[in-house]
Amino acid sequence: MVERASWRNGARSLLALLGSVLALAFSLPVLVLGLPFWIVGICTRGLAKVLEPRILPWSAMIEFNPQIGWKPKPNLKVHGAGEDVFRIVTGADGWPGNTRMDEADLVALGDSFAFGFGVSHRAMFSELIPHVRVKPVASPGYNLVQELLILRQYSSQLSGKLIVWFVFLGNDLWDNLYPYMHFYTTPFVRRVGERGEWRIETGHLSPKTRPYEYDAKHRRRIWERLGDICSSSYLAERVFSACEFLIREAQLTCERHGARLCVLTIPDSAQLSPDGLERLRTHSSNPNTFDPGLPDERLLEICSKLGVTFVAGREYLTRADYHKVDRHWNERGHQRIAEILRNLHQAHCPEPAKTRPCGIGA
Amino acid sequence: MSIYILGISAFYHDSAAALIRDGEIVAAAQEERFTRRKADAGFPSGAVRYCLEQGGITAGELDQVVFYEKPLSKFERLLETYLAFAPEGMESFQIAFPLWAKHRLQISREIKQGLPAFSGKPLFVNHHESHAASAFFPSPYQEATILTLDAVGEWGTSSIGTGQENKITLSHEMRFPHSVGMLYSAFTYYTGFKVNSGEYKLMGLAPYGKPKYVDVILQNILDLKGDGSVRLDMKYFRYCQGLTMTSDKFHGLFGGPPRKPESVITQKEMDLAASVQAITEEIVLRSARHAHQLHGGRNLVMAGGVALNCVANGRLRREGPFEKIWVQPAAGDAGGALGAALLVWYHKLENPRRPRLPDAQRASSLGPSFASAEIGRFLDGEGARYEYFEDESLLVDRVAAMLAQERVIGWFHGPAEFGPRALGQRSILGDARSGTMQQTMNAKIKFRESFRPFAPSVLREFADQIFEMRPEDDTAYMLFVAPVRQSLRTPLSEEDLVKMEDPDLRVRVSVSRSTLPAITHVDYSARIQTVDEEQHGRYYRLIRRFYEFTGCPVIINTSFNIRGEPIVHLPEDAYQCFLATDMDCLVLENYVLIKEDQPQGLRDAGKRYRSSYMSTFSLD
Amino acid sequence: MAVFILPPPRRARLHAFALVQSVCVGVLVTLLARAAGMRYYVLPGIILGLLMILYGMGRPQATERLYRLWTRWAEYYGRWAKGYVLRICYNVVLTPVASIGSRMTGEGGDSMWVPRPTLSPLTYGSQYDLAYPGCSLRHFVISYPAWAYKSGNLWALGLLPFLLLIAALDHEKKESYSGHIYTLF
Repeated sequence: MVERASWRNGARSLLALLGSVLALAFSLPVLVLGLPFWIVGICTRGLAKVLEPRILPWSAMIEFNPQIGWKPKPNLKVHGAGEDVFRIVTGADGWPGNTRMDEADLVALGDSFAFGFGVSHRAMFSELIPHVRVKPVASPGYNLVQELLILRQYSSQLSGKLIVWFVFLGNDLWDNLYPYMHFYTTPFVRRVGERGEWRIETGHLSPKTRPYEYDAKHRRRIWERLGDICSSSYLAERVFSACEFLIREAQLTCERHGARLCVLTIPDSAQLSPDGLERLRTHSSNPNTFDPGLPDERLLEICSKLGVTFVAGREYLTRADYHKVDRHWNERGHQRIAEILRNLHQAHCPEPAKTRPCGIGA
Repeated sequence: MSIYILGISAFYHDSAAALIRDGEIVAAAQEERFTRRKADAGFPSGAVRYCLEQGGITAGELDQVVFYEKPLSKFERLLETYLAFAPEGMESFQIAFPLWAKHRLQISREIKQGLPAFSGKPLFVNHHESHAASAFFPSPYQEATILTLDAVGEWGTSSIGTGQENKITLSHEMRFPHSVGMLYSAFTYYTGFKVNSGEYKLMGLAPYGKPKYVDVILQNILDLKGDGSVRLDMKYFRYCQGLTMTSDKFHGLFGGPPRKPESVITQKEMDLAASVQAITEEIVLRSARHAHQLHGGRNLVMAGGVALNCVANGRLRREGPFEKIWVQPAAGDAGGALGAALLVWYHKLENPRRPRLPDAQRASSLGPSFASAEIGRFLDGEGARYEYFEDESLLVDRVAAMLAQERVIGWFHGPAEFGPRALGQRSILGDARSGTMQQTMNAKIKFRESFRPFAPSVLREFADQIFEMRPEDDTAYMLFVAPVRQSLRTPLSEEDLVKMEDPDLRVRVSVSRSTLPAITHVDYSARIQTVDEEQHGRYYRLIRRFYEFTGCPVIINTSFNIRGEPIVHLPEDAYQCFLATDMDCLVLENYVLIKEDQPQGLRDAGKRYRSSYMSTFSLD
Repeated sequence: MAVFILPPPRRARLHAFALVQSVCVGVLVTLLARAAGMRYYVLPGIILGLLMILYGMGRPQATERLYRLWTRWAEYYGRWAKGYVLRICYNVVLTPVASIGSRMTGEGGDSMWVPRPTLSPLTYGSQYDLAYPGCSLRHFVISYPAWAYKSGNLWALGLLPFLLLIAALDHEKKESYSGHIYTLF
């Protein structure tokens, strides 16, 4: 601070005061002009706060699980935010809804799609199929490895059930190869040994969240990854090889315990619009071989080889079944999925579930 | 019970966080490494999270959080600046005032939002005192004279003081707008480089020119006093009232408008660079002499952005009055975070201090490190092919042999460096003896056109044999320049002499003028890093093995990044850089990846990363 | 974010917007009807308001379109108003004060080095070079006047209303400026 004659200070203060009063007077018309915006803005924000329920961030909805990395907390009755606010309800086991595993006819195994992310639980597919009790076993962020491990955990309760495995083509296929998701550690598969056999890794799982996102760039490269998976590429070879291993393991589990496995692929919304397809193609490392149907073809091959029922979601879903910005299904999309599951259940369990279980040979 | 103090610098350029525990540096990192945005100015949430994790604490367990400067003092300076130039200044005011209204005057709130679990009140220390603390407290000296030089903090642009045991005392300062840092930045702008980041390019350009503008500058723009202080004639500058550094009067003095970025560099720019560099060196030298006159002593410690001018530092070491000089490796504002934390520990909490040898900065290896297992998981996730070396000596053999074959190596080992220089933890390495390495590395690795040679890492025990420095001189942080010894210089042929007149500077720098052409500048200078085993461990052993293979104790060490991106942070960043460039080999801790061994599909993916880099990162 | 700018549309926000607009229009119409001398001047406002509420709640897409349009207009207003207020502040407050002169000195002499003290740790709680009552209060609306008084910058109080106004009007998310200038501010 520099010394200054007090008369200068006084003069400054006086000028500033007068100037300030004058400037406020000049500013007044501008502020008055903006009054409608202020009133509407303040009132809308205030009222919206009252009308909108409290939103819980995802990190607060999950807890560490030493076998699968993390799991939704049990008995949640909260709201999450996607494109809009939606209600989340989990049962005593932490899975969406209140259907118990032992009473379920159909188990929907998957990630955020099977979790019902983006719609309130009453609008979820699992609530829309009359006479069929659907048990979603899912969490946003899960990869197929985690879902397989969960399936194994429930193996003794699978008898007579139809297991529909939701496979989201957007990221499920390559997430299986990665040990991290955002700040969390996740199970993954890696090749070991001279023959390059796949092995599930869980030794690195930790309740401690990482101090930085390991895969922020990886997540931003989602277009490139999906573009590559829809093309002839090194990544595609690896992910489908890993998928084959995981589906085989799941099929063995189901066979051993009298359940029927079905794989249902869920296209990324980009695969359902011309703009999205073009963007994917340009991001592919081998655009000449780009084919948006390639993932379904490869998975169909795998499932046929293993005797697993396969349904390509791309044949039933359209862009209109997804939210505009958020990449999950809207309510119409859930209705579409409910129809698919109902048809599947009918096909594999033609008689009512209580009289005849559906399973191998049904 | 341990006391944890977190220092933060943010909101201008070079945000950073530093954590100390009982006066010991636990961790320090710059935010740009986490966000991948060069000179990121936002709240350093990534750096903070890392520091807390490294300290094993949560924000709620912090005892103190300290910000590296006094916002209201800075605001006062800003207002007085507008008052000095009004009615000019509207352009600048329209940008500055909203920033202050929303953020800068509410730093407490910003800190609270960034650290919601911290229940205390943040502290605020003076900017140049932060610099002074960062210079003195980690140094190995019980007492030292302090010299800080930068563009500006609150009011001060440079300061002189002393450090004794656990106290720093600043005695004098220069005040805004008279600033050696602003002077240098003005010429950086005028010669077509980016302000805040291109200053080191101006320093690198200087050897190409002749200081023929020195008199013009001293007679018009700058009154250089005998004690190193400067008075700038503000009619030549616009940084007070506008959004550019120089005024039309400045342009008229030097015969034209500023050079457009990425356009051809002419002899004028080279001569201007040489001139302002000469003046800056003189300022630094005179200031140091003045500080010595005031406070005496054998030791000098320095910080502030101008302390990164290693050419001036080299001259200070050779010609200055101090026997020993220590410069804070993170001499810019990032180091202010560290200094602020140390200031609180020693001044506020009045703790004793025991200087360490070689210093308390721990080779500036204060950033994140990654376990081998973690890296292995990542590489398997990518499907990369690698060799894993359990035995370090085999790893070092392998890599040193590749270096000797003029392969370019990406070296990722240990904790990341804190500060702008790569010091052997996140470095790209090459053979300094190669006549083509400078062009190869710039074009095929860095994706830039550069007139600057690379910097060398040299084994400490050979440093004085290769460079003109005393055996006892240590330059572990690449902050001093010294000439290559006469005995290693090679005479220039006729053809070489012709090339030295080429307007294309890349041709000039390609002329081989010593047995270490890749690191020798046109004036035979080199920006040196001395490497010893105690501080550098595996990096030292690598260079040692290279020496055993080749008889040369010097390798190229350039920062592990491409173009204008920040230095790599995660193994993923290093891996992408490896794939996107013509780098031959990547060493991630104990994993060695050879480019030609990678599956074709991965190499194809690398081409995609390359175009992404080119479009994302501009030349800095 | 400036409160007059509406946040991204969500169901609750759209409903709130529809309600608020309906009430505002209803009140406006009532006032106009009263000014026009109508007998039952309240009725038109109530009827119109109710109709708007029903329409707004029943046609969320139409409401969303209006919501987005309103937000865009608000952003235009904010930008224009901010520029205007800044110019007024600079020309009417700062420029007259500048006629008194500035504290930026350094006229010359043999040296530009000026003596400076090392700040006492007692000042570390303050965002200024001095410690003073109120200096460590979190909200600047309270600590700013204390600083202005104690530091001899009482004139800076004249800027306080404009600091608050600009903070309220500025809806850009920028935290810093980088261009062809050193980051002085």
